[in-house]
Amino acid sequence: MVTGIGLDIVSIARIRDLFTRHGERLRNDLFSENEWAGLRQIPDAPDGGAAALAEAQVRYLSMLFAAKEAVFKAIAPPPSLAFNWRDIEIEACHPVQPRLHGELKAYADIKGIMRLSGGVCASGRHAAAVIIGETS
Amino acid sequence: MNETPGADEIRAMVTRHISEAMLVPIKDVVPSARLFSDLKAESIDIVDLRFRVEGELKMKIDQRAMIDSLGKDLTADEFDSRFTVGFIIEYVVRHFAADRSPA
Repeated sequence: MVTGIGLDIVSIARIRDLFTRHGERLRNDLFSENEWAGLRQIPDAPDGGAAALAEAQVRYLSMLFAAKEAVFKAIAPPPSLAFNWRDIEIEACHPVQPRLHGELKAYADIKGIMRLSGGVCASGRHAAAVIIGETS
Repeated sequence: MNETPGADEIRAMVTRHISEAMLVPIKDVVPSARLFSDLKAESIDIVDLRFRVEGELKMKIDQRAMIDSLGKDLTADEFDSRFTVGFIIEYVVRHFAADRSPA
């Protein structure tokens, strides 16, 4: 049974601006080490820090963020739930394979969400993701 | 900004950052404005705002403590109605002062 559907669209330019402005702090706040390691597999990745990302990397991070946001919306936790963006780890993008941590995982378990699946893409100026939560 | 800004300076600074992070005119950033319903904030805007304020004031905002201070077991509507510009500003003012108080 479907328990929730999450949809998100994020501006790639917005993500670039945020990394330019906040760099490593944003990286550490939003993304896990595994997610960041995935970035290094993108061809032509520069050796620079988070504030010096190549276009393909920004696109990748935008997709990750759209997927995280869509997962969050599909689960729809109460506002009081302790949450940080690293509690949703995107292990793969095609198809999206999220792994949950912390109180968000506990809440999803209580809600009986057994499966979160969907897709993410980036085209032109935006990245978009849709995630469906199911009990089985 | 001075090393130890006063409350009014902090209020003006946070107001400016809300305007810039949410891409809304500063005249719309009034204490009663709800960040999500009125200013149409996205979650990424909230992240941006927190880093802007933390960076300028050299303070750490405990997101969990801030949310908890809105009240327990809120519905989404209750949360939305309480998560206002005025709440954010006064939370920052209060905690900036507390961070710098002698132990």
